[in-house]
Amino acid sequence: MTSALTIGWVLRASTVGFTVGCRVLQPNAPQFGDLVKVPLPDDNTNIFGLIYNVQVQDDPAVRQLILTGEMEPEAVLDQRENRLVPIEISVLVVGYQLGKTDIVQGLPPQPPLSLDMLILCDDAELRAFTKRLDYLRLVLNAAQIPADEALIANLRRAAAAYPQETRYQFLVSAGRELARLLNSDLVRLDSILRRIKPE
Amino acid sequence: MTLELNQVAPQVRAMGRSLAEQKPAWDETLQTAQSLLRQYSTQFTALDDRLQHAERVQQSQRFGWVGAAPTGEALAERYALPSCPEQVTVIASDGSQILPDQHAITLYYLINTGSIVYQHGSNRKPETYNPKPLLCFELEDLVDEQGRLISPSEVNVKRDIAEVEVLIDRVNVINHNTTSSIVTLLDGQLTLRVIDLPFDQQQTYQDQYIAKLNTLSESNVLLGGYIDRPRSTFVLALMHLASLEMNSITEENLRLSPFRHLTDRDLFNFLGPGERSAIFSLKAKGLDKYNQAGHTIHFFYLNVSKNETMPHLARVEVPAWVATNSLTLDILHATIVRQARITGSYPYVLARAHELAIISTEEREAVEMMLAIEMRRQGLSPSLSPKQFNKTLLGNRESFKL
Repeated sequence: MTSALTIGWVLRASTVGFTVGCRVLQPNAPQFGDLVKVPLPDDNTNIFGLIYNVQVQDDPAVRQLILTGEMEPEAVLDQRENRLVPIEISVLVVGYQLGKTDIVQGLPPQPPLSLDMLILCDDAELRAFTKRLDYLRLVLNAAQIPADEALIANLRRAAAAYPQETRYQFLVSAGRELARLLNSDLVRLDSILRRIKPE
Repeated sequence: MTLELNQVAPQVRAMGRSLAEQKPAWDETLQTAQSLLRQYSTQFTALDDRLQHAERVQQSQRFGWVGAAPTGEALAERYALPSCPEQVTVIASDGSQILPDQHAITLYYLINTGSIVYQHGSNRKPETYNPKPLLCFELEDLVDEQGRLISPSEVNVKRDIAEVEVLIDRVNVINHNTTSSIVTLLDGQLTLRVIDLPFDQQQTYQDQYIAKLNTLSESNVLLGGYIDRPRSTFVLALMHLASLEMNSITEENLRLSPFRHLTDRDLFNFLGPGERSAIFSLKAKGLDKYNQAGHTIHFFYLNVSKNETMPHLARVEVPAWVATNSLTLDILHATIVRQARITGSYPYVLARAHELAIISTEEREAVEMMLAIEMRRQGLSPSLSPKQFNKTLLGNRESFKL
């Protein structure tokens, strides 16, 4: 299935990651570990990333409502849908694609700019991106993010995007790549493999 | 830092001492005022006699006594929180403005209003609405026949009228879609503050405003003006009047209130959570037009808190057509408390209407930037006055900030 769902707009960015602001978590909104992309408008480039954090920012008005405890459903709807509830989604950059060329799993030449759109990748894009698994190393080496958890969520989501007959093979390939990268940290490897093991 | 805080500190200590020293005397005066309230709670004839005498005394004087008059409810009584209808619609509006500034790049003013329709018991998202902001820049908007720049008071009056216009607009939309009672709320007093305007403008604006109150009245909605943390002393003025013998009611004595350090909020500190005071009508010069049009201003004090130990008193103004109907008054009373309890101490809809209307510093700067760009595009040379330019430069200097 395809889902060109706009999630939000880039607030701040660097080469290794960026943060997106959005108003409210929609029912189809992306989840932790999802593969997303930012199309750069000028040069037909896509930057791919992995969601590793979704943060609801503090709001004094919301804090006040919580303290009083008189939570009327209409006030909750007003806060969620009328007011700009600030939600920030943090994304780790894992690849890019220049024009129609192959996807490169690495850091892009330039980060996205403020107000560039963030879009959830559809199943075809997820399969295309995970044809190669070089990005696993980028994720495992990312500091100060829940890398293992994000990777597990991502691999499970990617496996679900494959047809039943190739899903097992995809997970085995991912497991082999992880074994190669984590051969000096067997405890870490074991905890990841247990969680992505095919059903 | 330009304020020498080390020189302020001893004065702050002296202030604290003074407040503590005065408290016993103030408490004693408060007890006197409250015992007068109890004593005259139902002595309406005696109070009416004094009010009429005071009116006669001031007729020949320039001094205008401002105070409360009883309306038949026992003055010292506490009126319990009525039950609120499950479904009730509350509409609030608020406004803000950019005042004309002779030091800005050009003369203009801007009025922005916002409103919210909150339908209790509907499980629906409240509807917010911002009419098109009003940017006024034509010569006739800005100066009178003598070339005098429009005063901030007049802009404020225009804003107040715009707030009621938005209420009417929303009432017209909602009235067709709901069968529940509609409560409309304004932030502040119900009367237009025209005292700073020339007499003819006072009349014109009051007529415009009263026509809009007529429309609201004819729309079968309830109307209230919510005054948070009021400093009014209308009931204390009545108690002072009650304390005077008939032959002592003179202009001089009316001016000398023994309760001048108190407010009506102190007087009604006995109101429990959700309770209101008796309803009073407001006596003051300048309210004749409201009285003649059937909008005689009434008010009551209301403890919107639900915490016994932390009362939060507001003053609620209502027109006669709400005050004289106990059913509508109960709905308004209960609805305001229900609204205030969402935030803890202030009606939710008024807080949101303010948020929708407020013009932030950044927005004001953006408007000025747009103006500057447009003026340059038209071949003009926008510039701040030297005074404003230098104030901006120095005001932005971080090293002088705490």
